[in-house]
Amino acid sequence: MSISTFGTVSMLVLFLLSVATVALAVVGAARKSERMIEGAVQGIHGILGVAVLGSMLLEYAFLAGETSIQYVHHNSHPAMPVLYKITAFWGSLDGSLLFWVLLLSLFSSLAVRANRTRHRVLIPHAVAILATILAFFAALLVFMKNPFEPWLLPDQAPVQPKGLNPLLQNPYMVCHPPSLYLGMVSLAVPYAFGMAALITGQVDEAWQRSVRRWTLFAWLFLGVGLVLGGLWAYEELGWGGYWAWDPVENAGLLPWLTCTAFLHSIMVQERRGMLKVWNLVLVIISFFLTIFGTFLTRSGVVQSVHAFGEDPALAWTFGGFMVVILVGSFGLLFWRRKLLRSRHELESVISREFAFLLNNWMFLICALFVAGATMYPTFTQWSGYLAENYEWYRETMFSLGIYDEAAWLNAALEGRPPPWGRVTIGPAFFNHYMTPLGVALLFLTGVGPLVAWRKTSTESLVDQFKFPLVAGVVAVLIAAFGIPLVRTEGGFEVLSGWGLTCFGLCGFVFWTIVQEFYRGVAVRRRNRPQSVVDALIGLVVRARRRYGGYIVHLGIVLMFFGWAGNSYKLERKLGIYPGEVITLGDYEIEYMGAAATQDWQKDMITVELSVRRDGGHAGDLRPAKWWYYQLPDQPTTEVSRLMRPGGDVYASIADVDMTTGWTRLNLYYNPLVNWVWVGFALLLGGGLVCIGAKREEAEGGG
Amino acid sequence: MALPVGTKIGIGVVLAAALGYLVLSDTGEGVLEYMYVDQLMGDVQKYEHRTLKVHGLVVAKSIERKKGTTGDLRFVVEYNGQRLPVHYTNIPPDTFQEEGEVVLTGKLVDGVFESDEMSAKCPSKYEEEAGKAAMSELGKGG
Repeated sequence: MSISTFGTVSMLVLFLLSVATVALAVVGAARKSERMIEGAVQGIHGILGVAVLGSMLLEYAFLAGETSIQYVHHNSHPAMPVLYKITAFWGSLDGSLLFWVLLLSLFSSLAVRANRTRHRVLIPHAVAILATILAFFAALLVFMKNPFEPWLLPDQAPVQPKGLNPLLQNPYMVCHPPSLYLGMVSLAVPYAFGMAALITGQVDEAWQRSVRRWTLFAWLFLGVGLVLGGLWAYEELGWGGYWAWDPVENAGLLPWLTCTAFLHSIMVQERRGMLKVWNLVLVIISFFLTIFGTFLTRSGVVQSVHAFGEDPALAWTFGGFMVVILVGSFGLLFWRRKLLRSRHELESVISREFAFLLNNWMFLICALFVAGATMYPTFTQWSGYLAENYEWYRETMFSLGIYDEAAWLNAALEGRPPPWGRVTIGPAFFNHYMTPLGVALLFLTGVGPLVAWRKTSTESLVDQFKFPLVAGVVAVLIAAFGIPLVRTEGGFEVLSGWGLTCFGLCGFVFWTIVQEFYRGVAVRRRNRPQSVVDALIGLVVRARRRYGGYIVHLGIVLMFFGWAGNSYKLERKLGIYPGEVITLGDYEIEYMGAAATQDWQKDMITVELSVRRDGGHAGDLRPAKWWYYQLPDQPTTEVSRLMRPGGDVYASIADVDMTTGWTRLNLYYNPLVNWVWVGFALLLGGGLVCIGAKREEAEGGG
Repeated sequence: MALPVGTKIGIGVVLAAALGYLVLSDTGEGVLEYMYVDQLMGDVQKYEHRTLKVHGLVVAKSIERKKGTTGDLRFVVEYNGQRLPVHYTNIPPDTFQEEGEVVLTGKLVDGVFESDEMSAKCPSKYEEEAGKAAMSELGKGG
């Protein structure tokens, strides 16, 4: 039996086993049959086994260069390093769906195993939900996107395999997609347990205890995936930035936003028995957004630089699945609404509950806004399609004044396409709305942990906030007058209002966190004399969720510090000859010359720039253009940057004329940009501290 | 004890005001009309001198890379039989190539699309096209 046949059969078994598991779990739960439920649990583990087998077959096909399989042929090249052959498995649509199934079956198996005795009532329902999701993806693999599809005729396979684009042969790109997948897929587990809680009516805090870590895990990996994607864009693409609100980037950001909201609001439910409906809504939306994100990136419904190709059949399939998720989940929620009454009500606006509620609203507004703006161009397109095909719709749009009737008539007379006005939404639009929302969230990051549960007295407010407020004001003053971040030829750079606000809030939030650590350490040292470091470690270890959370917040502050620097960004695009000197902020950059070299896989043209600051040599930049022999028509841009705590000097080149040495250069000064990465590393560390926390600690922390 | 009604209204007013301010201060920057080459060429007078996005395919062998003198890039994009000459004055993305799909941001001035922003299809290879092409060829052969 060929690998192709073996693999196709394994996909079929995967699908049938998933369907059987759903049936066993549902019937078992209805009849309260322990044997059937146990069978369903074994079914989940069995699915994992088959998924592992299928994935190993595909990996083997890649490593063995089995180009009789279309998918392998499209995505592999004999000369590719082994690492990239391995990662080619999930490099394209069909394989990425199999990878999705592999991860989902692994997580399902782990989650079911971990909770099989503790939350026995929830298990059959959670198993049924997880197996249903698995069956959906397995069906895609069997009926639409079989990664083991062979060429129909033996001689049809082109001789020259295509291989992976050199742009993607980059360590960041090895880690970025799987990291996002890990985050997205693991959100199915909280969803399954949330739904199981609704079905059984066991909507107390039990279901949340079994999912808090999963959500944290998902949140961390989504974050890692997003940041790696940003780093890749920043270091590879040469446009001087790391985030452009592309639909595919947004697809990863959306569930991260709702996960962040959920991780905060479960604390409110744990402590005060409030926001029960809200928590379930967030779990549903987070899971929905992972499917929505997959839909966005795989179906071609949105215009994106990430070319996934249009695929109407897949779009409709995903569309249908999304409708089922929304209707089913919210239907369950409505059915169980009486069980979800709050134990307490909000008592004061100046309380932790209210700060968390605001934080949740903000995150949800951010997610809705990003989703809406991402989909808006698609909506206009759908609307245009409706207007082209349905008279009543067209008439309605004319009478509402949304479409111009005269223009449509003219277009029809001249045989032109109807002018329904397709639009795109660019970064400027996103930034206009997301900057204030982000700044407001930063403010809440500082306020939330300092106000008490239920209500806060005036004395305590003054006591908590006086020093952080001073720190905030000092930060604004420093940013405005003390150390000008950037000097241009014409004097000081115009100060950005949002930049200053952001710096001020960074100072404010930073101090609230320092204060919390300081007070905690002081109390420990008063109780038992010990060194500051010992007290600090003891503090964090004893209340990991609380202090891990503060470390995450500290990371967020640093990231915002980096983003604030972005409002002082400088950009110059120009053509120059060797010997010319350019000024960029505080830096002087001299073009020394260009060199043409080559190695075994590419031709290279490298430009040498000497960077000076305050009269001294600060470093050299060597941006380049590479022509891979494999893809001679697509030169790659090699960015060069001078990393400093104060910011990056960043250079890339377009063209070089080797006879005169003339080059077209893009230069950027990105103030404070590296603090974004440092902040994220800290956030990651804080997240790991939280994830290791024991459940019992929940009562003491926060 | 729940929050007093006055407080609730106050919160609502503050949030509505903030949102209203955001919407009112939106200059519409970042929202651009988007069209394929044929639509633009179908009504040149209407679209001339307006910043917009144009989607098309780079015509084979139309790329002129002028090294040394200006560094600018000239090429032609087409869609549905209509062609549009482009003058591009920035670093092209690495994925820019002949017969590739591009989306250009710029203005139509005197019959030439002046652009300094381009996105070309990203190399993530969730491609359908290759497979479809192979299938249609197979159809012809059989």
